Amino acid sequence: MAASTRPTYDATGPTVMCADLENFGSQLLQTVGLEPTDAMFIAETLVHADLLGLHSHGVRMLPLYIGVLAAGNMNPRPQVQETRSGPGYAFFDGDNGMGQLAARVAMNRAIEIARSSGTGTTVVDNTGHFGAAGYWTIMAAEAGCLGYCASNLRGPVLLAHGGRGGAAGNNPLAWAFPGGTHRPTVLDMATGTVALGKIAAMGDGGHEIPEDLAADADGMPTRDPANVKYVRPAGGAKGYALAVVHDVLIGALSGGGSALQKPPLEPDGRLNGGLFFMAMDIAAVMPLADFNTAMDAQTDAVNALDPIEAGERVSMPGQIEWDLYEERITSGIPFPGGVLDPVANLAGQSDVPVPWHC
Amino acid sequence: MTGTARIDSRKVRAFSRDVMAASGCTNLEAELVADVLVEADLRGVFSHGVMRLSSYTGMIKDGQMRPGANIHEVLSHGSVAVLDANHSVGPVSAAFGVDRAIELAKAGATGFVFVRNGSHFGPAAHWALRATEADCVGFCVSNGGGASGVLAYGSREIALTNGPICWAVPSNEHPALVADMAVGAAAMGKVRVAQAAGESIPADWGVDASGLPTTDPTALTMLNPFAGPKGSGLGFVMETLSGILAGAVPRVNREPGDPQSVGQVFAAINIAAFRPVDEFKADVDDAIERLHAIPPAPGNDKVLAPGEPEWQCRERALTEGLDYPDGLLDRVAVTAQRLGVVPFWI
Repeated sequence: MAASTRPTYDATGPTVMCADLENFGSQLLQTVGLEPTDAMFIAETLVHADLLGLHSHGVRMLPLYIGVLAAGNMNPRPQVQETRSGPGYAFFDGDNGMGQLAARVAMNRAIEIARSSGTGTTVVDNTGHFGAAGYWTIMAAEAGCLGYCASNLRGPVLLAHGGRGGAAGNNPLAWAFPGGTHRPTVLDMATGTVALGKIAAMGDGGHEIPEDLAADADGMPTRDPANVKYVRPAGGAKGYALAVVHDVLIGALSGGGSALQKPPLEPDGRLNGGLFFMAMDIAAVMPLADFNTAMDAQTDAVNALDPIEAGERVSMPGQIEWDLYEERITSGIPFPGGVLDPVANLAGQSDVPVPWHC
Repeated sequence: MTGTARIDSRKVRAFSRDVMAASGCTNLEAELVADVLVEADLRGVFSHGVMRLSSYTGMIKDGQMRPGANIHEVLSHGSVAVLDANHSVGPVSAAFGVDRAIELAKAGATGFVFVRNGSHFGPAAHWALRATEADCVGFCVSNGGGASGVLAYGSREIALTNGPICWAVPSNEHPALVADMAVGAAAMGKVRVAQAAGESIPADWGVDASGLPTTDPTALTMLNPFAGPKGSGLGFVMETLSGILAGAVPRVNREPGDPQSVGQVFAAINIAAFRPVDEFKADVDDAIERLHAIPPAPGNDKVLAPGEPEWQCRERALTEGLDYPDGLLDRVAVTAQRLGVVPFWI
């Protein structure tokens, strides 16, 4: 959850209750062979993103995921294996399953190791997209740990700084801390200016996009969303450095390579993703209660800062998204127009009842 | 000295050592500080190089930085340790912190060391790179000094120091990958350089006292975070790590007149826990070569890996000598002469 000014919200789509959406997502995932408990877990992680307003990483992803599974390019029932471990670490093979299933095991293991050893670091090879990165660091924060994670996938869509081609994936990195009486403080950021999916959405209705966001196939600036091939790194050299360092680090630690090193398409269609998780037990450094008191003081002081926009609250990373979450967990998720249409079409093809009026 | 004449870095190193020794550092401390500052100059980061001899020796004189101070371990739990630097000379406690993180990483995959009561440690990259020499991934964070403040995204008020956050990943044939960034859109040093040169600055660097964007370096009082919410978010990660966990106070909770406190975090990940080191480094080398093969943008000769521009600068300065900006060494000379050290270039 990047700290952002309150999103102006196009809620012209249906409003769906969280539990209904989770059941729906779970049923859809079961149509391509997932175990019911795994399907429900993945649906919960997606709905969590929708609750936070991160629709780019919510149930909107289902058609993409289900397409890969239906094509037989991903294992619906992976045996995530801990292939090696030792003091402070564990290494997993994701068995070419969904990234969420490997991430759940690997972050839980990192937290468990941190409990006994202070820090726990886990790496996963051979897995898929793990949804919103923040979800996994929130798990750590809710367990009283600092959480840090990052991932990579094939597809170098992030433009090189000073170059005309892709250098890395538009990969996320996330950090989270326990938030005292507040929800955890969460920074979840892509290393590019914006997700490619969001650029496509900006272009709906024939709109041009700002020139500094993206580039065409020749690496040159473009305002036409239809010509976009690359996203620019956030903050120029800084975003480029963050992206390359994390992409290469995960590739070399997992053995799966960076986005530039992964084959464009594995012969067997594998996504070939790598994941990295770290948890550090706050109690290893200071009493958790003292940390929480200090986090509250920091959050309260930030919220009291003079805002640029009168009437707005200045927020800690993740705080705006948690506000949406609190509203939506009780009164349902109001979707932007069009976001759910591809999901409804998919459900229609597999006779899964849609819990909203199309 | 104004100048175009290039200077041998070995002479600057010996001179810097003499200045630090004259200000009360032990020989080992003086050698270490000289190394860190000259490395910064070699990498082209003059704002963190021998220019700092004036502020370092000034802080020693005022008792804010204490040569010979006893650095002690407050606590350790598994692969986490907390050190009290006791206001020792910044690079001295930083070296101690990184080395302890490496030691913990060799035993438990990742070492995390939190340093309280630290002081200015030079360029963050120096310390992340030190971990790479031990076949670890290096990470470090420090909150910044009081001189420059960064706005929280969406606010007109300072909420962050302009501290660095840095990662370094070791390679074999090529220089290590380095991501070293302050959380502000620019360094205050760059604003001062523009001011001295009478030049304007980009409107997105920061704002004036009333919170409005300015291109006048004299009017700028607060820096923007880089890339808006992303730099601001990394800023709160930096403030939480160094301000709360490493025992300095987060910038937003400081009162005017509070003593400046510096907290630092050094982490190391032992590569060998996850992957044979040779294979890891060969993969990083290959990744760097693939970056080099990307067609360059118009006006650029070659795509470089993060950290490579500074490395190229260092290679050039090692063979051709250091080319200091006008006036920089004049100020250093004044400091040296006050301590009875004769600058070799005069």
